[in-house]
Amino acid sequence: MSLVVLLAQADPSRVGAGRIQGGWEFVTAAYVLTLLGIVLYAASLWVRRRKE
Amino acid sequence: MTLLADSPATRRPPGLLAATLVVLRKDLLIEWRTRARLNALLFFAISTLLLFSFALGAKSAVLKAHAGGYFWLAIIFASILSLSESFRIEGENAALEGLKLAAIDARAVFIGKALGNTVLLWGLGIILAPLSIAVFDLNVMLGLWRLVGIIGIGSMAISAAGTFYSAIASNARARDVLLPILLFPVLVPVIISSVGATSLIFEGDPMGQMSSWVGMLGVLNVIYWALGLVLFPRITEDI
Amino acid sequence: MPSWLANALLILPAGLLIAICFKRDLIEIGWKVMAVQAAIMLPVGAWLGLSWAPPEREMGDVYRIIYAHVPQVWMALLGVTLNFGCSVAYLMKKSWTADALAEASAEVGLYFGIVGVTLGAIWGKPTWGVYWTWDPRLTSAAVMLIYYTGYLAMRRFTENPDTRATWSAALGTFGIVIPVTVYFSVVWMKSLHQVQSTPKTVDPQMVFALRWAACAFLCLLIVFVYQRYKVARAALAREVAPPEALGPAPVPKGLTT
Repeated sequence: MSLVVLLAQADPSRVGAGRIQGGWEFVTAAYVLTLLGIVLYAASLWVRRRKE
Repeated sequence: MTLLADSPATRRPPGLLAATLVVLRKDLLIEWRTRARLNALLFFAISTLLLFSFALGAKSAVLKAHAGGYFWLAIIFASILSLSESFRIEGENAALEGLKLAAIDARAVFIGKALGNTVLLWGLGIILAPLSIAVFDLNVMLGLWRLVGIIGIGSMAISAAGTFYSAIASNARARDVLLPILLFPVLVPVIISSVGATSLIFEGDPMGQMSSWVGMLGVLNVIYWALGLVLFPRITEDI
Repeated sequence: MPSWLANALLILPAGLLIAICFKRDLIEIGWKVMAVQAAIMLPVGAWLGLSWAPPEREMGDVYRIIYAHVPQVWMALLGVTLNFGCSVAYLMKKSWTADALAEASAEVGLYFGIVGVTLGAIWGKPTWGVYWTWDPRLTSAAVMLIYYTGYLAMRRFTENPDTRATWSAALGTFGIVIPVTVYFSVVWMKSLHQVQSTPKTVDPQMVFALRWAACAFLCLLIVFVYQRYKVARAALAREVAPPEALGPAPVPKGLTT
């Protein structure tokens, strides 16, 4: 653990930031898929319902 | 119509064990007389094994490493044939209705049929084993009796679940599609455990893992047979 | 955002579910309340997940998928559990309510399951490097999806309503066994899910956002299951309907048997 800290102080470019950078396209895809799913399923329920 | 003391109307229906044996004997007798199912099973399973070999580029090292998997896949695919057939014959000549009219306990039908399927699959596995050992160049490190035993309890698990689901599938439309969809999810743990145990038999068991797999197979058998016994009468009462 | 708010809002769906056990007609008003609550909480939840919650220490912003993935997987599990309950209930006492509710919960559970697993794969790519792996949880999930697809297929292929209901009940009862056995059998093999995907921090903002999202999806689940239940009851009524000359088939309001 301390070796990494020493290395980070000496030469930051050789040590990663410790997190995954970006990746917003995955997040967007996930949220859009959720919304799309809800809309499509609700629509399918609407189409399938029968009036009394 | 007078009821005589010994007429069919007053005779008690056979007990569970006797009824089971009747059903088992009937199924095995039908099978023995035509041998159609066993032949089909054999040729299908052997073809599957050979197809796997060619599909994987006939590289002996690869095949040897995963032989347990191919062996059980061949049995599982063949079991679908066997299970569909086991209920199709009941459809002919209203045989299933005949069983119900004879006041045979539905649980006896389940146990009898499932045992019949077990015998067939076990037989298939026993014939397939020396073939696989030859084709995949395997060593039986843990003894032939253990192999026979594993094939046995694996076949029992497949048959119990398979008999239950094929009773449903064979009476619905698109039965050939429905049985695999329903059965394969249930067979996943059986495949995992059987292949695990079989691979240990062929490769040796330095870490003593065999008992875990056998235990898992035992639990699966208890669950499938118990659930089948409880639920089978309900699903056949309306057919 | 006051920290008790997510828990407080949970009282509404939970309260409705308990109240229905005593007075079934409440669902007629109840589902509309749930629809409104979901319509409000879902967009707010999206905002909470996308910008209000802080970035994660190791996964950065990609982790935000959990606010959509985890609640929907929970809803899938709820749907499947409800299906199990209805299946057992039907076996003990035949009722069209139990059968229609079983069909509804299986379909809605399958819907949330498919979306949940897909979202999980989308999460897996940037974090684990792969869309899929055969660890216990994922294998159990995939197997469950196939099984309940088969359940719905069997229902579609069976024409007699009584037979269909009995067979569905049998399948639904058997179905509870599957994830348990699959899970334990794969555990013998290997495990990946637990170690790498759960955020190690218990930042209260993250807990809040997750609880908010779970509440929102629970309201949505209630709406979907009830509407799907009505579709199932209407279809049943048409199936067992008397000839047209006797008038249109009545569709019962609410959850009356």
